[in-house]
Amino acid sequence: MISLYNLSHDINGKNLFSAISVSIFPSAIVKITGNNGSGKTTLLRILAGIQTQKSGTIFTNIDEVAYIGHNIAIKDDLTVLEHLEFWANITGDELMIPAAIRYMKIEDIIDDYCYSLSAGNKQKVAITRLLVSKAKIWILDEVDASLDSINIKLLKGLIEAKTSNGGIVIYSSHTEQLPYSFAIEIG
Amino acid sequence: MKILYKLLKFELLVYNRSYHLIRNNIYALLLSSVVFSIAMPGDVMTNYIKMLMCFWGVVFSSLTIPHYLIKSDLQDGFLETLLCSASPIKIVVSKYLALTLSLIISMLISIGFMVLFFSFSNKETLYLLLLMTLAILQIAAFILLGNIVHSYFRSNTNLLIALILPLVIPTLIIGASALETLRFDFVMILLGIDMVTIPTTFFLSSYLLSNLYDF
Repeated sequence: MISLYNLSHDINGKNLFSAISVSIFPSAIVKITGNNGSGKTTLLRILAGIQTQKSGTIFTNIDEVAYIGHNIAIKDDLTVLEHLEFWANITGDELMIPAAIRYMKIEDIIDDYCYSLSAGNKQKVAITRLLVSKAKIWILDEVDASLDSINIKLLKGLIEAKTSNGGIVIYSSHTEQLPYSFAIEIG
Repeated sequence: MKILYKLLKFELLVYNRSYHLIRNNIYALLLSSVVFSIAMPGDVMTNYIKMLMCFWGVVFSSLTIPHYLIKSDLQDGFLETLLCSASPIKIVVSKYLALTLSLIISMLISIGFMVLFFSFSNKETLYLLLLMTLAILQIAAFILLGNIVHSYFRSNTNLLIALILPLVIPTLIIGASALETLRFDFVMILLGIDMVTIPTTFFLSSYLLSNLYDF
């Protein structure tokens, strides 16, 4: 469970969001909505523990978080498999790699260097990283931005499967293609 | 420890696949030795001068390491993703060890050529190796700190790096004195400097890294 109490943040005196209080229980899918520059990425980073809020408190009993930001953490000079092996070793289990590759249908690009991949394929590699992770919470920042309709369906299936097993998914998106239990509007 | 080992392996892979740290450092080291040898008149080329050229060559070639190693992690989103799974101190230590290992490997390869070229005795070679290793341990720490400062501060970062790098000057001076006398006291002084600078750098770097996104 994650509980936010009176969460507020500003950057250089410009208020982004204030007094957000909400409890997110297991199996919840939470969508963060708001205009450009409203603070969605900042809120997600705060939830992921990357950034510290100016005021307010976050209570959580879950340490492990898998995060995909705007920049999807892909090193161009490494192969897709090298990426997955690294993240599996850090956050999950290497044994999950073959199943994750099959689910995301990236068998053809597994030995390719990431500089040769399209934006959509890079996004798929980043999503595959979620599958090899053991994290209970997924935090996704506009992760559907470069995906086509087929891959959106794959992502939708993944989110539903994750939350049906007691996981929590928190994401921001400008589209209406992904499911959610409730939305938090900021800005 | 497992995460630290995996991080170190990954950093070594990235540093040498993307930036060719070991290869470029060997080139810089050999080039600096050749340039020094050409520049020095033949009659002043004592063994002390030759060892000094090799030692300073290691220091100066290490300073050619790019200062955007961490900035690139910041830009491609790698750092924020990693901060969710590993503590800042583990990230700092793994980056430091990867830098140190890359520098030591390139130094070990280059010193073979230097010993052949300059005909050092075994004692001189071992002494030189010890001094170079101690210098590398310290320089890697300063390079890491420079890299993190370059990422943490959004402006005037080149000026800040220019203020950090002169911290190697005491090592240059003590190293030169050590090579002149071949006394063990100077090695202990360098070791003492390392023992002060390395933990301080770890502490400062991990503090900056943990606050990298707080602006």
